[in-house]
Amino acid sequence: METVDIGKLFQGISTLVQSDSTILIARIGLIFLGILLVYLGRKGVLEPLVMIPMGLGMAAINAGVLFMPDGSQGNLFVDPMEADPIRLIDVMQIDFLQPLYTLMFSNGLIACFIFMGIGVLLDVGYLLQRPIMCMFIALCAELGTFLTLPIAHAMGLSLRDSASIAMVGGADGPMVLFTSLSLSKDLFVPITVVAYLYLGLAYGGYPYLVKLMVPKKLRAIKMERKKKPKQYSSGTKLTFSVVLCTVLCFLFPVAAPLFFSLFIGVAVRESGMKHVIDFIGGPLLYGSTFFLGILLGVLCEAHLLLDPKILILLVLGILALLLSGIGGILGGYVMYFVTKGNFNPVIGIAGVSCVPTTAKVAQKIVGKDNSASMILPEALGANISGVITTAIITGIYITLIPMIEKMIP
Amino acid sequence: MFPVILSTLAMMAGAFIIGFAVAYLIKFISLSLNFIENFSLKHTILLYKRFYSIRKIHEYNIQQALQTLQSNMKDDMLDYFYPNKDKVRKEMNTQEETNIIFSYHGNR
Repeated sequence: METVDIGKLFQGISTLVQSDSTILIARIGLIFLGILLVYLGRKGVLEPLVMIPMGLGMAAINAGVLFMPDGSQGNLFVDPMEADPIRLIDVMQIDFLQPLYTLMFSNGLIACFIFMGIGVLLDVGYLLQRPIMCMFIALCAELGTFLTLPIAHAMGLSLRDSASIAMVGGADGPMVLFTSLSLSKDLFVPITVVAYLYLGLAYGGYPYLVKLMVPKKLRAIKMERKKKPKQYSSGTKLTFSVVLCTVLCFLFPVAAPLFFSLFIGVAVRESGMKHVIDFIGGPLLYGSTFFLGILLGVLCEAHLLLDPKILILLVLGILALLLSGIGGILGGYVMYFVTKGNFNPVIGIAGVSCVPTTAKVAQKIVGKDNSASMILPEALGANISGVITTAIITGIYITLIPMIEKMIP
Repeated sequence: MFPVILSTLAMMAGAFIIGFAVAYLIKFISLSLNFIENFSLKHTILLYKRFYSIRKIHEYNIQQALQTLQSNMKDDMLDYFYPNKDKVRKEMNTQEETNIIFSYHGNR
């Protein structure tokens, strides 16, 4: 009688047993981290909308490893490192999330859908009110985007790769995608994975940075508005969004899809197209965020994350985001002194353009210390400006880095 | 390493300049939209007509001015432009001017 190979029956366990110790520990660690993310999302410590699908995806991908026909270990979720077009068609027919990853994630479509949804929720009146202040904060919050470049170069990366990973500091996923596609195609996938992974975790990490840098007394500042903020009519906002979108696309074609997606949402909102508003602000936004969460989770696979190249990118990515957060808060402090204390420095964190996560983080922190303090309008203005500044820097890097590379041996 | 730091600083300065240029552009668009929103064509036409009429008075071509006003405007608009028309009449003391004004009222 032929014996049944239990190992082949329960391949998740047998692949775990047959892995080397590093992969074994990483897989178990990531399974537990995934479960922890689900728990923290449920508790409201982390953003549940992203963290629950992400956590479960992380646990499932690291548990569901099996032996592929060629004897290697793999999964039936997604193969993010596959770049060969012929092989990609095969993979798309096997891995169930591969079509979503290839046709929606890696080309930035899912990010554009999210931007459309954010546009529908966004009131551009905040940006119209104080554009100079918003832009100053956003520029300060790009500190990580600039400082990470020489640091990454000192750590042995080429100038092109350094610029691509430094863009993580801009906290704008699609911008990182585009920069790495243009400057370092070889690192496109790992940089994208690192960028989105950190952007998902920003909601949980930034509050600690804010609490560390801004004392409770300053966090509780209630800003007094000397004159009543001007209310703009929907016609004015619509005209503004049309003019600004056209001008920004004209100036920064590199970020045109993002600007278009954001401002089409604003235009729909200000035009009062109720059914379209309901669709974009509801099913499209929440559906895209949900699938983004799932994809982020399944990209956190042990084999992928333990790639030596990815490890260095993980360090640089978190450094870039940390420095940008610090820069933003320092910008908030500058505004605090300029306005003689009538500015809440926590708004600085919203300059990191993780729309609208960082604005929500800022309001949440301030609301905890002083429930009467409302900083969301200013925070959202800085947030939108952050997208513009990241687009500016993307344009600068894509244009200048190849030239600088030729000049510097 | 030094050239990399130097070029990073240059790119940083460039980003600040472009960033503030965009901020002022937004401010300009905002102010322009504000102006357009408050701009009223009707108001502008009324102001033009008022200016046009005053110029005619200064040229002592009262009749023509009033005829212009009469032909272009409704009667109640005359009150808007000349709330003190009786005072104006007193100030214009020459016989010729008085005749013109009376002839206007007579025509009315």
